[in-house]
Amino acid sequence: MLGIRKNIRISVNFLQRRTITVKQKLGKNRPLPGWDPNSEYFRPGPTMLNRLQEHLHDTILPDVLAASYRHDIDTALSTDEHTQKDRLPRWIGDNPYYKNRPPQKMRGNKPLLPVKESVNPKNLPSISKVVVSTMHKEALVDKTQLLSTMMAFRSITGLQPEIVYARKDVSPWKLRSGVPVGVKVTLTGESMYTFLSILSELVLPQLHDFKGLSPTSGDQTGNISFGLPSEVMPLFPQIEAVYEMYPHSLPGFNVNITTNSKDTRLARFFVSSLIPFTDGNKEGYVG
Amino acid sequence: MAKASKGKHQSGPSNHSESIDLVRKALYGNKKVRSLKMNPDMWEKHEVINRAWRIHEYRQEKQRENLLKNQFSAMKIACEELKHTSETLYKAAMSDSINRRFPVETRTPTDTPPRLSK
Repeated sequence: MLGIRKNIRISVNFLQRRTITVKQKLGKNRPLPGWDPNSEYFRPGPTMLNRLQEHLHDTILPDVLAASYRHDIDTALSTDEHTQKDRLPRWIGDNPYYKNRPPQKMRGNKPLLPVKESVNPKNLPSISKVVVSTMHKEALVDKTQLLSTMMAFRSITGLQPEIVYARKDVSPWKLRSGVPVGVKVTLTGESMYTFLSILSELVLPQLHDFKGLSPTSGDQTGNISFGLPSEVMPLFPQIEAVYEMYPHSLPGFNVNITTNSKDTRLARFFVSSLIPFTDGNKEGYVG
Repeated sequence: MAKASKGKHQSGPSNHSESIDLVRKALYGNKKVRSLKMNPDMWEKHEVINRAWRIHEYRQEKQRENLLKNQFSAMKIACEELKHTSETLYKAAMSDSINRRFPVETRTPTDTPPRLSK
């Protein structure tokens, strides 16, 4: 029993990129829903069944849950910092100057890292987004060199890349603030899985020098980053056939895989189902 | 091979500038983003289909969550029984592997036509 909306809206000829209005902020005029074709966030799709997404959900996640299971772990007793909701060192005492004083910085100026939790069906790792970025050094001399890079990135990702501009002036590198130096694409959803499947199944197996990701890669918040050389660009099936038509040379790129895992080891374990690490079969499954 | 071919292809400057103009036109040429023209009838169909698809997605997600929850509870029960049965096996099962990896042979399954047997 679906409720049909009473007021039918006739769409306009061209897309109107709506910004958040005052009425929307006050809650009187809600923004358009995501399925509305006039909405800024409308994406027609899904266009096909996603093999990689199905594989990750149906096969990899149950394996990750089984391999990462820990029995009878009481996180409240493991460390003291897990029980605290406020982990910043506060100024405690009856001194009147302590009132409303901002908290002290962590020792050694370390950032506040997320609290690790044992794996359960609610916090299984998943890939949030993939950021593909590059810096073209020849673009500092000739701006038109970036056009080929943008075209190539649009081909391999299916999305329009955004230009990355320099922030500071560095004269030894002939770098000036505001000069376009590279391109960046942020992939989520269907385009992310498509890119990852092409990268892991078609491109990386053809790369002879690729032995796997570094076993120490990743920050402590679940992000795995790696770089690929410029020889990887003609290996993409979208570029392989038309590589000679690009007027400039194509650079390599950096790939940043952002997962929602709070543990680096869990993130590495999850990403190793897509892209192997150099210590691939040391302590994996036997047989 | 690609380099030699590329160098051969870029023999003349006019060819080079034409390629650059072609790329620029492909990237920035068409600025119009045409919206879908839908009459009220098509709009109702679109909304109904979207609601049905969201319900289908919700049900699929719930089914997947239930499967994982059942697996988790089954593991809990099994490990509790193992803990009371054998201490050695329980410690071996709970040993933590720091650098656990999926095998390199792990690949996404592909549906292909069956291989003809001779």
